[in-house]
Amino acid sequence: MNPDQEICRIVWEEVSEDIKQAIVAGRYRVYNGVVRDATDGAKLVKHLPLRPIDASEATEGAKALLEVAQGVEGMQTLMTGLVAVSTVAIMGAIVASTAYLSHKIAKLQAAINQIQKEIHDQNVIFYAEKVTQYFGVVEALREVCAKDAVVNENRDLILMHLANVGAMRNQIYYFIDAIVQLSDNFSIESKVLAIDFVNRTLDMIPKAVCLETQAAYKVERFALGDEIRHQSQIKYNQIKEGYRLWCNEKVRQIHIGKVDAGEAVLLEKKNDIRFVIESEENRLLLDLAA
Amino acid sequence: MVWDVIAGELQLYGGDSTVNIIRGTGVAYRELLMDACKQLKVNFNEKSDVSTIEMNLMLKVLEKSLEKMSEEERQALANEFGLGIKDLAPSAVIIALQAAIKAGGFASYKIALIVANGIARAILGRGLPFAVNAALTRAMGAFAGPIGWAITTIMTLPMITGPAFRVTVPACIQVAYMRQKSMNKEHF
Repeated sequence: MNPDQEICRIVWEEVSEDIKQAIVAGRYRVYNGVVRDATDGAKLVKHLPLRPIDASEATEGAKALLEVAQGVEGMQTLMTGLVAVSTVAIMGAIVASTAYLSHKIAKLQAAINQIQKEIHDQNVIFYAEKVTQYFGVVEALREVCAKDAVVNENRDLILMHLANVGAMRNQIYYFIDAIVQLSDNFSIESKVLAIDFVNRTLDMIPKAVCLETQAAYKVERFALGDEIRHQSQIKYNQIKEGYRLWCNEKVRQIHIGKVDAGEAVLLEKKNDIRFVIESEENRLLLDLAA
Repeated sequence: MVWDVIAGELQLYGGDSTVNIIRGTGVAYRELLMDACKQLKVNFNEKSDVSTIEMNLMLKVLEKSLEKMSEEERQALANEFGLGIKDLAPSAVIIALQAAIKAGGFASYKIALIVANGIARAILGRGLPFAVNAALTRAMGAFAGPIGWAITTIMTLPMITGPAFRVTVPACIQVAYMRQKSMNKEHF
């Protein structure tokens, strides 16, 4: 978004009314801070005026992306039109230009290490490795895309990363689904690890997808970026819905008394599960490109 | 947390006072529930899960209250559950309700709601505070009387003279209602 890795907000006050109306109507779209004509092969219309913001809170991982973005946008609660575009743009910029994702990857890696240590199922070990690889490539993609000068020099490298990362992402979806089902046979301790892992991964995928789409837009593969986001949105929602139904069924079984008292661990994770299932931040990242 | 204090107190009611002192705790809820069912001569399978045993207890109370209902009230109950039966004898209604429960859906929750509300009115003097749809509210109001009479009759039976069953029977019904409510809710 910015060559110096600054996080910027769109200065809507300096944007003409007709452009704003066209964005809200969907005729124009915002890609990486640039307005493009959605009806005319993504032809460049205008570079949006940007102003640097302080998003240091988000990079420390203490605050949610949406919280930081809303803070910049004046705590808007109704995520419609320009506000949503602008909010997603800020969230995307934080993911792309800061250490936000690497902090999250470090935490996820710790959870994966724990899973590989505790759960001696070959499938789990194999797929956990795939998750590590996926987020590794995503982070590599982020590094290449962080500066425009590097992007211009390495378009082929970005395209190669995009080709690899797509296959890996799909493997992760299968893994999440599989580990949720497999966890029925896990010990209570392993089940806790599996639930933590699924929550963390589900929370990170939309950020990674956002990065993938931004990378595609940077090399002007607009249709590819849109397709990555669209397909990811469908698959992510399917996986999330499957996880939600599984969680609800488990709670029902606990309430019926069909499972051991130890299974109540799921109830202790209720807030974490709800957070990832109801995440507005993740919904926006998968719904909108900006 | 408050719930565990309440649960502990209820479990103590389910156990013998002297044994409670030696053991340091009361009995498991399942045991307490089965004791209550045995006292009320509820037909149940000891290997069933607790929610099924609770539903058997609910049906027993409902069966007793059906005996106190007029034919019009029994017809209203049959209509409420969409039973589609012509024979309105209490045993026939109960068999139809059992079938409705087995078919799944909303029937178990409705029974739990109607019975728990009737008992709360009879014992506490007021119904359960919640918002449900208008038809269900009407049904709850209409059947509260007969259910109240039924529980009063049950509580005055010679075998229920012990103070513990006067607490554990209504408490099990309340727990059963809470379980059904929770089972019918999307938690995530």
